[in-house]
Amino acid sequence: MAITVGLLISLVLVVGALVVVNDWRWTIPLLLGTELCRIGLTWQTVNVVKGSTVWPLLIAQAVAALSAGLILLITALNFTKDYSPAELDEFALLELRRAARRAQHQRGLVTGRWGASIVPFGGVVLAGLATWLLSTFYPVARQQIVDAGWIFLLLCGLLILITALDVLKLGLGMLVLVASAKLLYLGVAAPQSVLHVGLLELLSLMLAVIVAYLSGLLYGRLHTLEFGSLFEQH
Amino acid sequence: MATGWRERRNRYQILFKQLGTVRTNTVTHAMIYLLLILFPLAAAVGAFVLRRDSTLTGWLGVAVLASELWLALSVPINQPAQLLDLSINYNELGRLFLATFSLSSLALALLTTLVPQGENFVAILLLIVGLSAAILIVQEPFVAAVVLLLASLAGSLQLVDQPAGSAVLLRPQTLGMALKYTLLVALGGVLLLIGVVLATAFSTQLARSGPTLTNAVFGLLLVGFGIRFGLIPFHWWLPDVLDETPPAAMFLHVGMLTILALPVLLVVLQTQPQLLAGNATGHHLILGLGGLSVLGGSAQALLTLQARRAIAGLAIANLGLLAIGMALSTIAGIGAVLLGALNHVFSMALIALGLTLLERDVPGRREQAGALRERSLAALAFLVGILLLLGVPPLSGFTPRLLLIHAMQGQGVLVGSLVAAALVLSSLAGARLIARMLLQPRDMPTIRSLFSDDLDRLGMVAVPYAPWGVRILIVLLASFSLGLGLWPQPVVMELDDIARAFPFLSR
Repeated sequence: MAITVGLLISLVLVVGALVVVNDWRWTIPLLLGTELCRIGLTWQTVNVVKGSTVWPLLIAQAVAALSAGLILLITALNFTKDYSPAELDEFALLELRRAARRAQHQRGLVTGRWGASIVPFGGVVLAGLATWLLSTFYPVARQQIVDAGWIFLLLCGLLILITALDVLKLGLGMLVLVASAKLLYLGVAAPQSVLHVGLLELLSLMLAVIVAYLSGLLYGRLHTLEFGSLFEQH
Repeated sequence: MATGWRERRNRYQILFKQLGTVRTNTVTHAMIYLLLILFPLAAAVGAFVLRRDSTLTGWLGVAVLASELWLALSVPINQPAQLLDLSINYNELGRLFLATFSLSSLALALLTTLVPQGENFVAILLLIVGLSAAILIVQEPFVAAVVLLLASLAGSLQLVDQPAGSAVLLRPQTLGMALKYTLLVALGGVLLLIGVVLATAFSTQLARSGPTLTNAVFGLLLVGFGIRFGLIPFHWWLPDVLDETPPAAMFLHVGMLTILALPVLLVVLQTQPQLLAGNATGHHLILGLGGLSVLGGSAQALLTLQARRAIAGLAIANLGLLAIGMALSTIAGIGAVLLGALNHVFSMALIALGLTLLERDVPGRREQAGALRERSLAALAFLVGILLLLGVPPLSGFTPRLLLIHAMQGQGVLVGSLVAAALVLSSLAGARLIARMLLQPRDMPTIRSLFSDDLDRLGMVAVPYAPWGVRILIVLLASFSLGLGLWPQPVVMELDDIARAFPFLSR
């Protein structure tokens, strides 16, 4: 029980940090931490599949999580490099300046209003409160800890989608949402199917690939991963 | 004694033979059903490898989709089998949907041989047809929801796809649209998935918690479905997709993938009928979303000056009518939904065909009159597509409207007048769109003004705007739609039988 509670607290802290922090050097390891906590929670609370197939299933989940993290890490390493202005033509430089202005403006807005982290931090606190209330009054899974885990992941995933400023962070938000669905499935379904778990892991990998592809296109076009300038009225 | 033993042995031999036949048949049917799923998926890998040659991949797509259509129509139905611990079955509904998807996709693949689409277009089209077959055959809510999400995400890659060797830079607006689409589709898919997981556990975990949790689960399902189906207020992605993508991609997202959400919802409601049966709040929610979409979509189509935005509005209004049919939960209502859904796919395929040929720039071709005169068959495809969306008789779009009006009897004046107002609005918008697109002269500068002397002589040479294969296909599709509109009885009877089997309907 102590281990389970410890895993839940770790999950809450790691996912909370993932909402607040914006730098990919922190967010990608935090995503891996989230996945490991989720897998640990699954291992502790859910009889995944009776008998000897527990470990292969958990290892497969860990490998899929590591692969998704690796895809995003390679994406971040490739598409956040400093550019050389000498290699760019005037159109690329124009868009670069526009994106930089937009990013500076957005940063100024956020900093000017609440400080960079106060809104996400407040959101995390509210999500925690909502999680406690929902898991207490509307239990769905076999154990309340699993309920708390998936609801918190779902709410924080939505928070990340709302507060994200770049494509990588958006991708992380979508992966957190999928992680929430995985935890719910393993906490509710009986008996669990290997095919279902495999499909969910495939979904995570596909999302990571799509985020990497879109990041590549965005960086190739605007030389930044921030998407604010995409929605400017031209 | 010996005679009795021989008789028993003979009886057992006959029994074993029968069992063997049953087992062989079950395995054979499972394999054939698996072929329906894996054949387009394997061909998609081939199309991806050959993606640099758009003509070749186009013809590959045509061949594969023609074979898939033939398979879809000839494979025996209602032969349940087991595969990987899953019950699989290919029923009448699956056959209708898969045949419609294959036929419409075939038309678009044929178009790819003429007008290069994105280099991965055929591969993604085949992938989505294969995943659609998986949804229709596996018929398990969880698998169907995950596969729908996978298909939608695969489709999002197609939005930023450029033709092979294209020198044109991707517009930032296109990237923004693709990002918005991916985000919304992923969000909707995950909510649908969570709703499905909760609904599956409904009987054991949620039943004792009362109607609050039933409504919450239904709400999650409805939001996920609403985003994928493009219902107002979850429709943000749909007009942008129509604005920013080539018509073929428009068919994929607004024609096929939106309608693919319907079998997923039907499978969920088939396994958990208590989510809708006797759930008044659920009925009102779907009815509200449908009504909002019908009115909002029609108004948007009428008010906008952009042709593609008007098409988006008409599509949203049509999808809203399908949602209203779902909310009615009667046999006639569900019949209208199923027939309307198949019509929606056909209409989007025809609009995509027509729009591609109308927007195509043909070097050396001189045009001064409206498209109806200059590009008659392209105009016919567009016209029939729009008329199908509007439900104008005698085309096949009229029958679902008639069924819906029949199903709405006894629903009150408010619902009836709302739908009537929306139909009037969408008809006005459709008439305006047709007049603008087909009757007005094209506003692009003609080459005549630049080199009038030389081109006056060339004026006698008619450069074709589409090859004969595409023209014949347009005529066939339009005739099919007309035929189905004039003799709808066989399909309506079949859909009636299908609808009677749904357990969530009010009798």
